Amino acid sequence: MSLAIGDTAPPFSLPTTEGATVSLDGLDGPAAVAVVFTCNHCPYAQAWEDRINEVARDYGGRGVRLVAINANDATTHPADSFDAMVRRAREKGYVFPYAHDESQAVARAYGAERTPEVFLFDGDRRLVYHGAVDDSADPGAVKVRYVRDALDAVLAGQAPSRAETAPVGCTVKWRRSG
Amino acid sequence: MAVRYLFNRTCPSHEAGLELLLRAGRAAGVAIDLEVYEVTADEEAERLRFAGSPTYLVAGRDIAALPQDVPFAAESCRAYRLQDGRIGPLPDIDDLVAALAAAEEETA
Repeated sequence: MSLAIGDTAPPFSLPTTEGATVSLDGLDGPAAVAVVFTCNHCPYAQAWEDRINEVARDYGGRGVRLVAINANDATTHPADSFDAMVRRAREKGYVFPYAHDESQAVARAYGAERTPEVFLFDGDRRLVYHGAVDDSADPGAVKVRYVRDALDAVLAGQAPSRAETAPVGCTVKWRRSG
Repeated sequence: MAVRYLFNRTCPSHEAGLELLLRAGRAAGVAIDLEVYEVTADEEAERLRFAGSPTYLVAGRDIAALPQDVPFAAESCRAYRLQDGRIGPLPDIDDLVAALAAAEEETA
């Protein structure tokens, strides 16, 4: 089950494509943290990745940190292997840490179901927005920019007017038992 | 024209993908003999060379080249290269229209 609005961000510590480790505790005092579950192979993730990168770039100087996490099982979806993640991050010029949740424990703790799926936390690490990046996979058809609107609200010290939307994307590819 | 529409309901584009096909048929002026089939098992995806939902087989042929590095798995969304270079969950309608028209011409 996904986190509920107001829940505290579950901690994580994961390797990134830059050869570092990203952890929730290590994100020094930002005003907000966006945790985005995404991946390489999914067409929805690919459709939104440039916009995710733009959010990280546009809000990075305003105390917002964005972390992307790929939890997909690379044995069934090799395009989501760690090596492929490294290539993707370089090719697309990601300005955010792209982390690998190989055990899938973080995705389970957050209750992530889709890629991409955004969990936005305020400065106290309370969930204030959960859902899609915006209202269309087609960048030319976007009418409502959910994450940007939520970030603007948080940075103004307010609660987002829209706290939840339905994430649209591929399912997280869980490891199969047995 | 025989069109097989392969999909998996875990991928959110399946309804829009079917509407797109019907619109393409009207635009191409091609009567579509439609079979809608849900792929639910990986073994079936492998056998059908199902590279993700939705997949369009027009007169038995996939309308797009099979992507690299993507397994034949039931619960996958298909990535289509759009005419402007972007990747999307559905093809451009113009590509569907062209595939239908070409198949129609071959069988005429």
